[in-house]
Amino acid sequence: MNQVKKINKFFFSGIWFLDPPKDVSVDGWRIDNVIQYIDVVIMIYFGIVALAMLYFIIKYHARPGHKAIYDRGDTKKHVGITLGMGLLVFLSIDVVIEGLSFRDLNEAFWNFPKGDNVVRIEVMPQQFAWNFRYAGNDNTFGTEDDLIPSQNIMHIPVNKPVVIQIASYDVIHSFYLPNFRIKIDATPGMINTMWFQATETGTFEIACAEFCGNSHYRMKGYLTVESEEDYNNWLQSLDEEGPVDELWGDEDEGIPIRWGWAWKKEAI
Amino acid sequence: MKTLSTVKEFPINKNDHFTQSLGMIITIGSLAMLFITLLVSYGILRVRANIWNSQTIDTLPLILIFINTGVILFSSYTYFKGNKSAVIHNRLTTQKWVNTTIFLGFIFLIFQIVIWFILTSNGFIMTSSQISAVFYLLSGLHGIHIIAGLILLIWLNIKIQLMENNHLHLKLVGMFWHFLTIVWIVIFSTVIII
Amino acid sequence: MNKNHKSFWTKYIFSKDHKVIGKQFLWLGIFFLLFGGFQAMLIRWSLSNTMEPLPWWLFGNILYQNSPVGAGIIGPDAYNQLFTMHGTIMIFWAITPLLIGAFGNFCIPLQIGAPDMVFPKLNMISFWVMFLASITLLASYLLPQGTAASGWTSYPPLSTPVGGIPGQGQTLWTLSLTLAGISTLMGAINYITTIVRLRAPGMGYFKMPLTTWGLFLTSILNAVFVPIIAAGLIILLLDNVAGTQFLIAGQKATIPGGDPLLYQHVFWIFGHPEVYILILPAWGVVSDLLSVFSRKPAFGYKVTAICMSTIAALSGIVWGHHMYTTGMSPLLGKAFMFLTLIISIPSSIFFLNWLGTLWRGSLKFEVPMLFAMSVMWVFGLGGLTGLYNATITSDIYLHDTYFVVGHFHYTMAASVMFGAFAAVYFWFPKMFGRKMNKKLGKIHFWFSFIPLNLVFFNMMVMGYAGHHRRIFNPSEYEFLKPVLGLNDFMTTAAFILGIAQVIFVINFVFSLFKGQKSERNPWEAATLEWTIDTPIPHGNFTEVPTIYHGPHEYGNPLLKDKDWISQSEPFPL
Repeated sequence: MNQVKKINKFFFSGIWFLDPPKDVSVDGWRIDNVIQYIDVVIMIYFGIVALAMLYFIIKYHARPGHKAIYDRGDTKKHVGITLGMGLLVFLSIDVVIEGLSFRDLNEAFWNFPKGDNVVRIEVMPQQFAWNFRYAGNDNTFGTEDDLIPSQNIMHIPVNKPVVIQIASYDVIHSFYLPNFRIKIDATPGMINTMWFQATETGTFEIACAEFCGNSHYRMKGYLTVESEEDYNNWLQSLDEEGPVDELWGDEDEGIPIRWGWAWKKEAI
Repeated sequence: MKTLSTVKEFPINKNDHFTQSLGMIITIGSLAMLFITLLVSYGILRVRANIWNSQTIDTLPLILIFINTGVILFSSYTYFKGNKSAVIHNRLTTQKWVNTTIFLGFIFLIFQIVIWFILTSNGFIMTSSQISAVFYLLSGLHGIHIIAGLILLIWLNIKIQLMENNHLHLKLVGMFWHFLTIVWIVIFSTVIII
Repeated sequence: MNKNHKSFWTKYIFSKDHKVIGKQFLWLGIFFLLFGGFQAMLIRWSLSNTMEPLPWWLFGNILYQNSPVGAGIIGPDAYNQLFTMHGTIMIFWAITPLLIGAFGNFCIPLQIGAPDMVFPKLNMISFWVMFLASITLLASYLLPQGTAASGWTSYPPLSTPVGGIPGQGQTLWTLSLTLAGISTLMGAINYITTIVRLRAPGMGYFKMPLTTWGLFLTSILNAVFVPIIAAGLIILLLDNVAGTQFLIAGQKATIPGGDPLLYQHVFWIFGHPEVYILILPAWGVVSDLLSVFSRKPAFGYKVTAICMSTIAALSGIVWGHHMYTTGMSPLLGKAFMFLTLIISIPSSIFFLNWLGTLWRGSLKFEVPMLFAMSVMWVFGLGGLTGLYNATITSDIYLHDTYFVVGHFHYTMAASVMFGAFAAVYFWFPKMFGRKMNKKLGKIHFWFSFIPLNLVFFNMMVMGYAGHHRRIFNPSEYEFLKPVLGLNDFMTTAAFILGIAQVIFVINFVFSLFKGQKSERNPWEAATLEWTIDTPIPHGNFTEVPTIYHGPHEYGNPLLKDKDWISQSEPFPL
């Protein structure tokens, strides 16, 4: 993985002159790769087009004695060459990125981790904050020992897959992790699933990527990635704050009541 | 320079049957897309909903809706008869059939309003359930188009009275009216029956 | 009494002549183009100078005086209203009336040799319905709580009472858009019937100018897909005013069974064809103009027409690529991705045909040609950047970022607008009998083309850096700090772009009254509209033209003394 990252860095620091945020995810490189492949191919093809246009402008501009060559481009040869070039573009870009993309989706993004070594978190955005819910010691959601941190604070352990289920409380939001290159919409009445895994510790920002009202622009959360030990300590500290009295949030604190759901059966 | 032998009359008179019918066909096509989208949306909502509030309607309005379906079907039949008389240039019979269609159209509209009245007074209002909202939306939209159709029919009636050659107009208004009947049958089948 | 005598009212206001109606749409379109463009300037100001009072040259003394965050300051609510209305106005009130309303009306009958549209009364009504729609939309500015503010896409539940945005702005928005849709439908009925039935003798489908082809395909798409958005808008309207909950679900729903995603599907089933609706006329115009100013036929005319038709046909089955992050099933996502990528084949083919038209031509760099060639550039870039969004994995990252904004401004704002400018400069002599000033035109071009690239290419850069959309104040985020400097650069470029449009307006208005009088066919173009003098009489052609060949007979070696021949002129024997 590090090898790939080195290659990326070498080739592509120059094309987009602003780098994306630091990638701390296990699969973000796939997205960066496909973007960079498209960058290169587009540069080549559009470069050819630009050069061709420049050439045409210089060589064929109207001047005395220069006549246009009457050519309707409808001979078999011309049509064949045009179709051939179109097909070449298609094969070299579209087919490749489709292959890359399908591979990535099947191997990573839609390949949900299963089993016990997976951290499961329920996320519920509202206007204008993020709510998180952890299952607690019994590993079941919707029970009395569920843990709810303060709003906008999410912790996960490093190097462990995290699966989230997300549903919105009011309008459509989108859970966006720039440092992981992923986002998923949160729609009220619908539970979406996404997974990711961090490779480095640190605190990263969570942003809302679907317009949700007048404070959409500052609907910010903080994702802290920490060692397993620190993570467990944090959960412990939440636990020590006392059992969640209400099964569901506390309206005085602005946390909507009656949120949370029994973990939707993992189908994929 | 054009000589007399190369100047041609416009082969297509813009008032010819096919041209005018094409305009009406496209209009009907677009309106069909509107109703199709709403019907498909209803279908999607119903299929996807975990809880579908299927409020039932009382017997009286249900019977009236059935009767009304018959009324509009009959009105299409009377229009069809009117069209046939127009072909054989029997103006008085045409007028009679068109007038019957207008009368039936008004009956349909009035019955719809009565049905609405009975339903709302029994608590089946737009906001009481998803199915009621769908019902009022579709029957209401259809009703608006019926009103437009009635306006067209009355205009047609006036045209016939003025003794103009109006076979084309009959055909065009007929397309629209039959379309409305078909829409109603589809709405009736999907929303009421299923 | 002379039967043809027309009063001022029937000649200019309630005219049934397609040329007058076309001009009416032109005024409406240009007005809203400037309106929407000014909104863009305000947006850019706010992004670079967040929460600072507007300067005097952006009318800071008059606007936003009652703003809750301070007089003359654009706050978050106002910002949301701004980008919502900017998008709505540019798409439905600027581009549609300009390309489809104005040039559709003006060009179609003339280019096919018809005396007028098949349904002149309907044509007139379509303009006045659009006018009514405009009033309804502008009325929302008079509401105390302002206009709609849920984005031009107005997703529910945000755009319903659940979303918490106060006021009736959303309702007026929905109503005005429905009216605009009705106007478009009327136009589509007219255009399709006219093109199918009123082509002059000898003009088969493959002898029509490509401008007419583009408008024809656009009208078919309009007729099929505008009713779909109308249905969606009706449902949204009911949710807003009648208390229904078709589009509301989750905790806030009191009637179970609603689904916000339904709106997204309905919207994008229309929305994706809509972007092709907007660009097909521009493609047609560019294809024709490249031919005129290269003095050779459009390369692969038939293939281009077929490609445009294929793209139009495919446009209806790819809408899911706007919704990759909504949690749709993987199979569905893959299907949409595959279909979306297929569209790139016909697109690249007819783009190559454009290049083929230039190849071995004799290029005259008149102002319309400059704009037409610039469409090649911006559409080439814009279309290629669509690939990032078509691919699911890269779209997961780039969705709802400025990358998308950059992409669609390249394909829509840049390509379509430059196509519209090309059309204006090209047909101005035919519409008004005078020429626009060439020097000002070239200044307009360069001061539009370069800044536009600077603004929107950088948007894609910002998007790649992770900057998400519809953000009033990006300095809230740490990860966006490297990007903020770019904002000022883009704003400056945007202001230059804005000023260039003022130059255009000055040129336009001045040339209307004092422009150099134009001869009948200043561009030596071969299509039918250039065979008659301006002002074009009611009924267009005194004699029915007969068509002898295609619309791009330039440089034919059979011609001896000139390098072109009109469509309605037979080859000399």
